[in-house]
Amino acid sequence: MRDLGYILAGYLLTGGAVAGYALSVRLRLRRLTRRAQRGFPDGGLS
Amino acid sequence: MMTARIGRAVLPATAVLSLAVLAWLALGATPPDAVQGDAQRLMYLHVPVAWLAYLAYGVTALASLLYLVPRTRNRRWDLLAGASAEVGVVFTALTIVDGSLWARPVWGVWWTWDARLVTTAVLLFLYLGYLALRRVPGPADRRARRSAVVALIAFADVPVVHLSVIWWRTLHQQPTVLNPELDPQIHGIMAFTLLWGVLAFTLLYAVLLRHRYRLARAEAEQEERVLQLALMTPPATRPAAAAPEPVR
Repeated sequence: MRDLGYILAGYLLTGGAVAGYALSVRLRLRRLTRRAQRGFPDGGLS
Repeated sequence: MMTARIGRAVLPATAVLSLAVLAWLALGATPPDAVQGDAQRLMYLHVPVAWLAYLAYGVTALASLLYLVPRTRNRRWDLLAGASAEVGVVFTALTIVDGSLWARPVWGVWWTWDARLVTTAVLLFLYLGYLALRRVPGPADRRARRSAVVALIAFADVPVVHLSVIWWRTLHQQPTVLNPELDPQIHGIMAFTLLWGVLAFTLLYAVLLRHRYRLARAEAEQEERVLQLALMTPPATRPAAAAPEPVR
């Protein structure tokens, strides 16, 4: 396959960026949910 | 109950499966382009992510409009607008990156000052500015109103991006698939793969938007709690702000 490097870079970058973004959203949500369940001992300031 | 189950499990699984099928279709099942060769396989990513960026900004504009109209004003519209804009920024950045990777083997350059490319870059920076504006402190209602106005102004660039290849002489190709004046004669499996890509990425957008919206709601609730706590705490018991360093 010609131009394989460009094609692979495109597909891997897109997949990686989307997966990374989805993971970051999930982690932020989980962190916030856990802190909310603990009742924000620091007043939610950190 | 059923809707929640679809959102939590069925939608992400369908999106991942659709994307896996897209990868197989795009990299294995479709033939290479007669002129561009295999590099054209990047079209199956580039076009859907660009479409998704349009869709995301369309949702942001619609939600912003609904927030600005007094009858439909609700904090949820503002949160939805912000969530969709963030997803849109991810897809706009990917549109530029994928386009650049496609341009290098086909045009011979990573970037050129072409009307389509420049207006897309402007779109990215407009919405980065919008997201930055959303983080500027202030009363929630005022912040939401100014963000909604900026979102509507920024959306004016979307039709400019789309029509740039018609309005100006560009290196970027003109619309082909939906252009009634052209007979693109796209191979059946290529047209199907492109359509499949649009559907798969639309499902992905729905999954990302759902998660980002939930996060936005959780952030707004936390902000509200912090405010309530600050109002309930007597001034004497609040931690004192650190004294500034003396200027020497």
